[in-house]
Formats: sequence, structure tokens, C-alpha cells
Amino acid sequence: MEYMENDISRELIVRAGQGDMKAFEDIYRLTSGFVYNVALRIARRHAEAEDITQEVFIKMHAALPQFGFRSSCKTWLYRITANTAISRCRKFSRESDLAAKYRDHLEVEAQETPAAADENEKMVGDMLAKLDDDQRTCVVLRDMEGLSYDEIAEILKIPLNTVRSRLHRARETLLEFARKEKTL
Amino acid sequence: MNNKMDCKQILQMLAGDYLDNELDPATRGHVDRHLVQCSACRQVSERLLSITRPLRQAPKINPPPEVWSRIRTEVSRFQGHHAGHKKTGSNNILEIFLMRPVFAAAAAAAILVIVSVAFFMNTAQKPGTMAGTVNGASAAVELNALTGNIEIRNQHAGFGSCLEQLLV
Repeated sequence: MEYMENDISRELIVRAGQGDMKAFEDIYRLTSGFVYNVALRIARRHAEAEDITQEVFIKMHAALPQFGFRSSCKTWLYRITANTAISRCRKFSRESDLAAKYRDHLEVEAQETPAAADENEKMVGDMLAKLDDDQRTCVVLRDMEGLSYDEIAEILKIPLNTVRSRLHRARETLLEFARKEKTL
Repeated sequence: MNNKMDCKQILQMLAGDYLDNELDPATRGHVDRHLVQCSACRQVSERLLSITRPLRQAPKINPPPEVWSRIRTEVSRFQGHHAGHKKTGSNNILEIFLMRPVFAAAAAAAILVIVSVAFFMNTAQKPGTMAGTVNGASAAVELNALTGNIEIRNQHAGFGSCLEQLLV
């Protein structure tokens, strides 16, 4: 994906694929932030986000020697992360107190005042818990990661109109949630 | 395009392409002009912005340091295992036997069973040769059982007497 910014250099990927641990660590430092955040927002629990991050980078390390540069490294990582997170969500499907668990485990790195950050995190947790796995993944990639429709379609390997309809349905769900809660 | 129809189309775009800046400039301009005139659609647009704002402003959270430690340990273990498989065959087999005595014992037992069966079949086919073979300085066993091509020879003196004891 040509338009994915700040991608990992080809040289770093090749070195990591040849077993250079320092190169692999550099890739981890550059990408673990978005991998962890996507995992956290989709899976909604820190413990699972940590496991997903670990699984993603172990899968990545095993596949690096065969990386064909047909898509960008970031696209590839987003894809592994989203698929791993969705797969775990479906495996460990939990119906009830998701939002509460999510809030309990969040450790916000305060960029605002702690109270405001907590309030925002509570809202984010409540909203994401209202969406199904597919809608939530699209919302996380679009609203939280800032990716375009084209990028989301390529990452999830779904048609552009499917991205559009999932986001549309997600926003309708969120509007309805906000109307009932009267919080927004 | 009447105003009612226009609102329906506008609302469709508000929750998706408009909110996500995916509209071409001309269409976006059309929606913007509609929003200035239509308070109902403007209200929906404001509510949509308010539900996406917390998501877009959510802080980025870094994984705890122990995640990298766990990954590094797993990857190092994988690399060590992979490197082990690249060693020469003879060294690798020797290493397996040295590191895992159970394998060595199992292999020895398997060889003994094969040789015993072969020896027994050979003797059964040639009655009267058992004593000579067993008591000889060398034991030669030819097995033409399943494949017809397996040949086992043992030059160890005294091997026959061990077999004899086992077969009795």
C-alpha cells in the first residue's frame, strides 16, 4: 500500500527476516504501539491485548523471511492484528459486563487531566462494547487509527462498500446508544 | 431533487463518507450548503461528530515492557530450535542420543528385536544351523522378510550366546 505513511524500511525487514534480533526489536519499537492499541480496542482487555500483541509479533517473526513486499509492512501488521483480535473475540465471546471489564483494566496514559481522560475512556469503552466485532474493527481502524476506507478494505480484505456499510451501521448504533444514554 | 429526498441522501452521507472525509470536494460542498439550510440534518451531523470525537481523541496506550520480554524469549527459543535443525545429521543424531538416553535405549531395543526376529527366521528356515551360528565367532543374519532387501550383519563375538539366552 503506497499511501500508508511511515512504513518500515525494506532493509530493516530483510535484516529481521535473516534473524537480526536488533532489527526485529526496532520493528517492534516502531509498530507495537498501534498493534497494542488496535488489539486493546477490539479485544477490550489489557491482558488479551498483551497476548494478541505477543501472538502478532511471533507470527510476524516466523513469516518475515517469506515477506514478499506485495503490501506495506504496516498493512500486513494491521491485518494480522485485526484478524488475531477478532478471532480471539469470537473464541472467548463474552456477552455481559464487557464495558465494566474494559474500564477496570484500562490504564490511561494521561495527556489530559486524569478525570477528563477517565471520562473519555469510559465513554469509549461503553461505545465500543455496543458494536459487533466487524463494526468495532472498522470503527477502530477508521476513528482511532485514522485509516482511509481504501486502507481498511485492503487490511480486512473486504470490498470498499462493505467498509462503508459497516461504518454506517456502527454510527447508527452509536447514535441510538447516545440517544438512550443522553450522554452525548 | 426535492428537499425530502435530498435530506435522505444527505443523512446517508453524513454517517459515512461525509464524516470520514471520503467525499469529493463538489459533493462535500453540496452537503455543507444543505447543512446551512437544514437544521434537522445539521443536528444529526453535530450528534455524529459528538459520538466520534471521544474515539478520535482517545489516548494511545503503549504495551507494558514485559510484552517485548515475552516475545524476545519466544523468538530466541524458536531461533535456537531452528538452528539446532540446521546442524549436520550425524552430530544432530548423536546429540539427541546423548541428551535423551530414552531415545538411545529405545533405538537399542528396536535393533535387538529386529535382529532377534531375523535370527529366529533364519534358523527356522535352516534347521540345525542354530547351534553353529550361535556358537560361532561371528553371527551373520540375512532378513528377507517384508522388503526382501534388509541385511543385518554382526561381527561381535559372543553375540550369538546372548541371543540364545534371549530366545530360550
